[in-house]
Amino acid sequence: MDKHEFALDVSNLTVEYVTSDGIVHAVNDIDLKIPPQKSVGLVGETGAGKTSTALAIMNLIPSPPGVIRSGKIILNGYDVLHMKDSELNQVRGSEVAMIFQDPMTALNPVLNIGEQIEESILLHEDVTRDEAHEQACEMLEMVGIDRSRIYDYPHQLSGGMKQRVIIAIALCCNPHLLIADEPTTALDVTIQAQVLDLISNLRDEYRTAMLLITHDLGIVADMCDEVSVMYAGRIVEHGTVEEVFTNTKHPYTEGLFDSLPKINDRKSLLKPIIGLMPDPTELPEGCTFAPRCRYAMDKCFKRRPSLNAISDTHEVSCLAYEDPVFSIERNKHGR
Amino acid sequence: MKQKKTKRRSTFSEIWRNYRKNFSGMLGLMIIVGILVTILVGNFIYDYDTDVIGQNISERKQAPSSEHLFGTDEFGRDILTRIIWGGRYSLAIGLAAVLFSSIIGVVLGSLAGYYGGVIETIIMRLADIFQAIPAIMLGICFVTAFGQSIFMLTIAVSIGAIPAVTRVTRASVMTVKDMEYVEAARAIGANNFVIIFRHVLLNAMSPVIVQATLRIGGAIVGIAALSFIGLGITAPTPEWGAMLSSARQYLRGYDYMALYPGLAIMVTVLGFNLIGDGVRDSMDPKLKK
Amino acid sequence: MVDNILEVRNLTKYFKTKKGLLHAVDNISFTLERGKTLGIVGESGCGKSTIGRSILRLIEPTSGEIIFNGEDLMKLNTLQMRSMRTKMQIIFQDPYSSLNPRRTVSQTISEAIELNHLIHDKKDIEKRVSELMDMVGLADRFANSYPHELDGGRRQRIGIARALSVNPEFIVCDEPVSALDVSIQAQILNLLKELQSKLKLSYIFITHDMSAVNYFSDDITVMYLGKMVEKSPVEDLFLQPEHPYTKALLSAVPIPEYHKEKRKRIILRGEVKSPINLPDECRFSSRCQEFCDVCKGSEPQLKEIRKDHFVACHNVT
Ligand SMILES: Nc1ncnc2c1ncn2[C@@H]1O[C@H](COP(=O)(O)OP(=O)(O)OP(=O)(O)O)[C@@H](O)[C@H]1O
Ligand SMILES: Nc1ncnc2c1ncn2[C@@H]1O[C@H](COP(=O)(O)OP(=O)(O)OP(=O)(O)O)[C@@H](O)[C@H]1O
Ligand SMILES: [Mg+2]
Ligand SMILES: [Mg+2]
Repeated sequence: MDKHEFALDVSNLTVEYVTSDGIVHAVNDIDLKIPPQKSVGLVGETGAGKTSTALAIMNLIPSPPGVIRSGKIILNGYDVLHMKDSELNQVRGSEVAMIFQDPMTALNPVLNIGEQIEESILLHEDVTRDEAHEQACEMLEMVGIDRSRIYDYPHQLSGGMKQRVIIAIALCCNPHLLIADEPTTALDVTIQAQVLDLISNLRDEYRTAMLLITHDLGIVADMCDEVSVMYAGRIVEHGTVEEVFTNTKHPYTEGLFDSLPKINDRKSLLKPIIGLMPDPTELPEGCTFAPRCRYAMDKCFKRRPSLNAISDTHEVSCLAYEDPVFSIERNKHGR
Repeated sequence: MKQKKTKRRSTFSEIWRNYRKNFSGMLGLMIIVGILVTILVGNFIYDYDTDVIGQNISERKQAPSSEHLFGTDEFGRDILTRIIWGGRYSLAIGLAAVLFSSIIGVVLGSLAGYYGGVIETIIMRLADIFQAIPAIMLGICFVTAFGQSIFMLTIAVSIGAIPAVTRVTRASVMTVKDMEYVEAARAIGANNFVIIFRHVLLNAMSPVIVQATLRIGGAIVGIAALSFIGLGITAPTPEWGAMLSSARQYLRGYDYMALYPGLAIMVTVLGFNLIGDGVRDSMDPKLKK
Repeated sequence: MVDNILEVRNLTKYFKTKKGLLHAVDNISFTLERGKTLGIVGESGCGKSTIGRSILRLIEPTSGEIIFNGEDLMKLNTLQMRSMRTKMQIIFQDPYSSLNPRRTVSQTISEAIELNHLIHDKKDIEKRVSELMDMVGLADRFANSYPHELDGGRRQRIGIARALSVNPEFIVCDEPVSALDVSIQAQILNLLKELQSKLKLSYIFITHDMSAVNYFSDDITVMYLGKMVEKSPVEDLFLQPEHPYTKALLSAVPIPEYHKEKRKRIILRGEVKSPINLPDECRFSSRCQEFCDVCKGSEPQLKEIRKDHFVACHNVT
């Protein structure tokens, strides 16, 4: 196995959907790097382009209407966008695996869970059926489901168990990168804790890098080393979790934090971000967040900011920082 | 569940926009519009007594020629003229029958779907019983019992379809009535009447409409079938099924006499079925993929 | 004396299913003080919505008393209940299925006013609708829009305006923000809070989001499989949760703050029991960490362990 600098290296990725209502600019020129064994969170609201990014990495964008306009995706040394289908299928599963949001639809209802895990093992590893079956049993136990349930069908399992089976399928071939697209959004908090705990344990064991897509900053704080904040198809802030959480730079990231009720402080008022995300078919020129930004200046509506480094690991895309003394409210209170 | 952000136009123009892109649907629409225009024009250029039923023994059983495009029948009447004139019966009765069965079926289906319980059991068991009898048998019994007027014919053709409409409506109403806006309507004090009509039925109609369009063809065949066995529209009125029936005796040697009425039925049914498919596809764009 | 707008006693709702009786809500009692908010939390399927709907008698409770403004709702007939619902309203979770797709915003908001003959003059109705739209922060230009043309947040505002249109004193908010984005959630939560103080509303706030309920409620009840397992003022519950389920629930909430060491969580094992044909034992026993023999013996009853703090657990005294 070669050593590569990054488990995933995405540069200048642009994804569009060509629809009858116009061109949806879902992902606009983003860069994303995941060092080996690290976990990076991708946070953003509905329609920010998180799932589109993940699908592009798997080269699974539905086409039509989707088009990958530009970009380069290097997945552990493989150039995903310039590979034959047969090679791609080999890469999916063995190099990169994906967990989808909805555990209810990701499993095939007419096959029992054992068959589904075995199938995925047989596809990627040179083993006999019996060996695959044994491996499937082990995987099930690893995700905390008794091996006697291997002949159960998906409808006999609860949501949390289904999601654990999906995790077992995703990890059975020991991929270098796991992409988890809102793996717990459909689950209850206690089950969510269980599933997240499982994912982190398995990651430690297999040394898998992870791209965790979520809209929950709390999950990022628990699960990730670095975080990218996405807004209207662009990454507006990137840094280590510590930097982004304690030294927040982008007004949008600040808005996200201020929108959340604090569990330890029930008196302070929520400060929602005003307005709505722009329509992705007609993104404003200039900064896409400017119409909702409380610090917006004239130049923000005219010029598009680029992602600028603040420290070695922290980048922000905001014109206000051209003024060296600028600081957002959140940092003024010294929190 | 996460929110979706899709812009949509008003339902009707959305459906029409999808429909326009549907090739076979547009073809069906063109066929039917063509047939309607022909019937309309025929109404003005032909005279019923002379052209349609007036006999002309000297021109009996002439093969298609430039003078009589579709030939003439055993009484020397121009077959093309009779087909054009006869179209009105097929279309009018077909449409009326579908309308009738839809209304009855929708009422029964929404009662069953909305109220459930005993009402549902009674209606659905009745539907089961009626559905077990072939539609044409029902039609035959009905016409035999109540006589052979056009009105009775319409009803005879439609009763066979009522159970199917009831079933579709019931299923659709049952999905819609569990929507939260129906509960919200109850919470703001709407009574059952308001709820059924304003909130449930309007939103439950699309599968019913699709099914109705698809059934027009079947109804036309039903009328033709009844006429063919002599229980429908009777001679000398030129109904397609009746024409087919009388041409039966001359099949050997004069097959064109049966061919053209048969083709008329086929093309019309095809046209309506294409429209029906088109409507279904454009109402539910997901179905196509 | 405290002024209770709502008092629920022994509310029970069983659904008949093919497999047997489904215990959706089992013997729940609580009171709601006028102008206050009672939060109901618990996981999916524990019966939260069933409580909300039963209170408005949108579904018929199996048994129990619902005393609203001193009147037992269970004794009212359909017509009386219909007029009673001008005082009590409900806001639904799903902003997509809770609005009739074929009715415009103003039709939806004015429907209740017309049905209940609250205002007769057409002009006045129009005025009231635009007043309501203003109150919930919807621009007038949306009056003739259809729901599908609007985003989730605006649709939820329509639902709120519809509920407010009859001038209710009490509103059941059934997960009003869980389908919305965080930034929109905050907008709606603030709106509901603002309306509460302006219109002196009393709320039942149903949610599965512990941070939201903390922000929003005065009292809180935690439900598990149709039973109330803990009930207390919010501060007390968050400071000192007693029931093992509440503890696990609180510890499982991801907190959006940076912490060097990963927080220790209580991870529940085992599976949730089926709500059908429950045996006489603690319903949480299959997942409980403090599980012991008494838990199998009988179902624990709600006990007051300190002032206003009730817990149903054999191991908490
Ligand atoms: N198949 C598609 N056809 C047309 N537009 C699409 C398609 N898939 C996604 N989009 C659009 O692309 C944009 C980005 O969508 P994407 O699913 O990547 O967002 P997301 O960040 O994953 O949101 P969510 O949190 O809702 O999952 C949205 O505006 C969406 O409407
Ligand atoms: N009409 C019904 N018929 C049969 N069972 C029902 C019905 N409505 C609800 N239930 C059952 O009652 C139980 C409680 O449902 P309820 O909708 O009150 O849960 P909830 O706490 O609101 O859940 P969620 O958080 O998912 O909204 C569930 O097990 C559900 O399956
Ligand atoms: Mg997504
Ligand atoms: Mg609910």
